[in-house]
Amino acid sequence: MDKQNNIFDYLKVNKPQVPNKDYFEQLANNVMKSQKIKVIPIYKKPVTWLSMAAASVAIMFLLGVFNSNPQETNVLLALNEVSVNEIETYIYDNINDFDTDAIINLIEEENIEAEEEKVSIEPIIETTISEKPISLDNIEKEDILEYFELEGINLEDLGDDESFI
Amino acid sequence: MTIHPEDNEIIDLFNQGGIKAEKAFSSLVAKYGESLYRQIRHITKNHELTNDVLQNVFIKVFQNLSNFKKESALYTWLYRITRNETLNYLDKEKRRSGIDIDGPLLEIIAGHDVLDNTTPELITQLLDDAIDSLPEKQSLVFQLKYFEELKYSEISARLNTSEGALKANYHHARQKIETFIINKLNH
Repeated sequence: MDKQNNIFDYLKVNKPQVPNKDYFEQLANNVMKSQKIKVIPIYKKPVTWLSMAAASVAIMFLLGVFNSNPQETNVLLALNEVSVNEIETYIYDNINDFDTDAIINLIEEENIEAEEEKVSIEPIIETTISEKPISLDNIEKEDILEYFELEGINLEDLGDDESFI
Repeated sequence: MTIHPEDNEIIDLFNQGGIKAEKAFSSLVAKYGESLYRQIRHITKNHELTNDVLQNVFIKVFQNLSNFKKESALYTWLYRITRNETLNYLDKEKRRSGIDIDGPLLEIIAGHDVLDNTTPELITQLLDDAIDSLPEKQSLVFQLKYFEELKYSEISARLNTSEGALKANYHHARQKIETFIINKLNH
């Protein structure tokens, strides 16, 4: 009974020949190819190129490469290194060399108002000089006549109204 | 169930995609390709059909590996896919190769009363039928031990089962197969 059941002792397996290692390597490659696996080098990826281009443009803008007047840029960059005090001192010392009208036009109105607020010297108001309130009675006749002469006002043009005097 | 660390590494690498997936898949084919090839060729009996089926098997593996839930050992999953693909392929083609190039898988050594009166082709067919009648895990253990002659330690690593359990499993498988074949031959 045991012998009858122990059939494996009377059987031998004929192992089929199995392909070598290269076959399985090629098989793996074929499968991956069929599944469209591609290893794309990073430098070939469109996303990489677009990102690099965008970053380059941004950097160029920051550096002012697209500035049409590079000389102007250089001057502005140099001016940035000079302090405000130094600039003011230079202008005061060389005010005659500057076109004051041009300077005035450059200063924005709002900046003038802001600067005026900062001025610590009180504006000259006649009441502060004279303790007396302003009145024509307090002005000498000769001063009035001198004023008219300076303004080119002909007294004779004023007619008979001599209330001004 | 915990998966074998090597197999776990392959799966994790595969799931990272790109070059790593490519490397992982190549490792998987190198590790288990031969075993699956033998499993298929055992049924198809020739290299051309085996090649076709094996390619289909690995395409299926590639497409589904990221969905593998690690509820069984990786090789058990591969074995299942291979078996299904082989049977489906033969069923679909409704043919063998025309001329079976491979000889019978088994040779009969003279001296057994019952076996002496049979042919290698018949015994091979009966053995296949007996293996089919086993539970899947037991069938797998038997094939790895009997046909591939792996050590218990190697089967343990592949199936993530203890060597003791494997020895018991194989012993019972042999008993069942012997009984099956003898009963068939005696009828």
